[in-house]
Amino acid sequence: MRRHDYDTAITATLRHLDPAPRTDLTEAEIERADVAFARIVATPGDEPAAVEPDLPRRRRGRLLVAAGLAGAAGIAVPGVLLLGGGTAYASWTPTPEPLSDVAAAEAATTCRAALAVRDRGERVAVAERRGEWTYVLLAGRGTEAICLMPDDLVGQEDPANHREEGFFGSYDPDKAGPPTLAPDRIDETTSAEGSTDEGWFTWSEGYVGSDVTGVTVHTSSGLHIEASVTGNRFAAWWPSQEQSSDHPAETWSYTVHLADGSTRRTR
Amino acid sequence: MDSTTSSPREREQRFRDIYDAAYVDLLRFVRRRVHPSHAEDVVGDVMLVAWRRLDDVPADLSGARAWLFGVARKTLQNTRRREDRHDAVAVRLAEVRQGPADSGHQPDLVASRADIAAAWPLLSATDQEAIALAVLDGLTAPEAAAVLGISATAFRLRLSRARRTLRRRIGSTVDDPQPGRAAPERSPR
Repeated sequence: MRRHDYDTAITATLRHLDPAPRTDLTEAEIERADVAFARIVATPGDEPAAVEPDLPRRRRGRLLVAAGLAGAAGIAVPGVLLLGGGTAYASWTPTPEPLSDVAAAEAATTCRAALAVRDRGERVAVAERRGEWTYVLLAGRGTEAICLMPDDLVGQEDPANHREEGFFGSYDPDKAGPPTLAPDRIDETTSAEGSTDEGWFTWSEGYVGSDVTGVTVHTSSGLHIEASVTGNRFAAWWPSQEQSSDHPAETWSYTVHLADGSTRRTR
Repeated sequence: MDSTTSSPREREQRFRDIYDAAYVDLLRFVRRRVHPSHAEDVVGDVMLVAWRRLDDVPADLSGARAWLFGVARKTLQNTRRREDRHDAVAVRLAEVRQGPADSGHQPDLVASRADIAAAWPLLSATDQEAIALAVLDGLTAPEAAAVLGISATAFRLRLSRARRTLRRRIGSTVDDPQPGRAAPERSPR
């Protein structure tokens, strides 16, 4: 038998062994596909202008910046965002309060539920509170979820139904792995601006080298923020303003605190 | 970037079209590579990426499908990677029900399902992946190459090598064709 025919025969046999042969979706599968579709299109697309026109007057927050992502490998998806009015994070503090393990686990559960993503074994990389707001960063193998939420949302039985009370989340199903860092370096992997009903904020997060014990963020608006540093990660968020001609994009730099007591300024 | 969708409604409609047209094929692609209980979750993740990067999704359906498969493959790599994210993604075959009826049902087949099912796990993930993209996922060489991020020529070579390896693995149970003969390799367009 010629090799061509032989391969054709093998191909035919392989098709009989297809573990996913052509078939129609079941009713249950169709229903789940429809639910997934609705969940996906409820998140803003990648064009900021595209999520605005049909919205009511209440301001809808959105991801404006995803700086420092490695090409198209990282995609941050705002889970939900919200509403206008309110005071601008009056309770916010430049120094974070770490969460207990129990509180962090509860925040992680709420974050996943609010984002409607399942637990893929992500660990709590950072969990902090600033005033009445809880921030949690969940890092997994290839996935990453970040949530900023009012403390009283944490622990709600059905947080997805309470997102209107103020919540900002992002989920990245395709997160690049940790960078290789010199011991005294940090790498900001993501920064984003968004809004909740209390106004606009900026968050940044990334990795720290093994000698880094602390990170301070200095913003062009004059804030000095102590980031949370846990393991090889750092994260911080702070109140900001919507970009406009009067308020051009905010910039910030870092002071890196090292184990030997020295500091290093970046950017 | 192929096109820019202007209004939110157009954008959602375009995504709806892609979603409806490619969902089943994408689900099948993923089911060949992960436990079926996880497949829908993976498809959801892939479609979320497509929604976020809608302007990157090729306009034609076959191109869009290959693009989605590529994202799915990367998602699967990420979920299973430890150190090396460039690992190929292994492909499983259906269970073979052993019995005398196996080859009897398909008298025209050179190698029985059991022969191939036994040889398949002996292939490297790279070989499995090349063959599966062409035979099971039904992609052309350029489409499969796009999924893997390599050139069409490189894919054809990879497929050719994978087929040769599979033939050898099956060879212990069936007559091997003349191995040194320069017969043309079959490969997708």
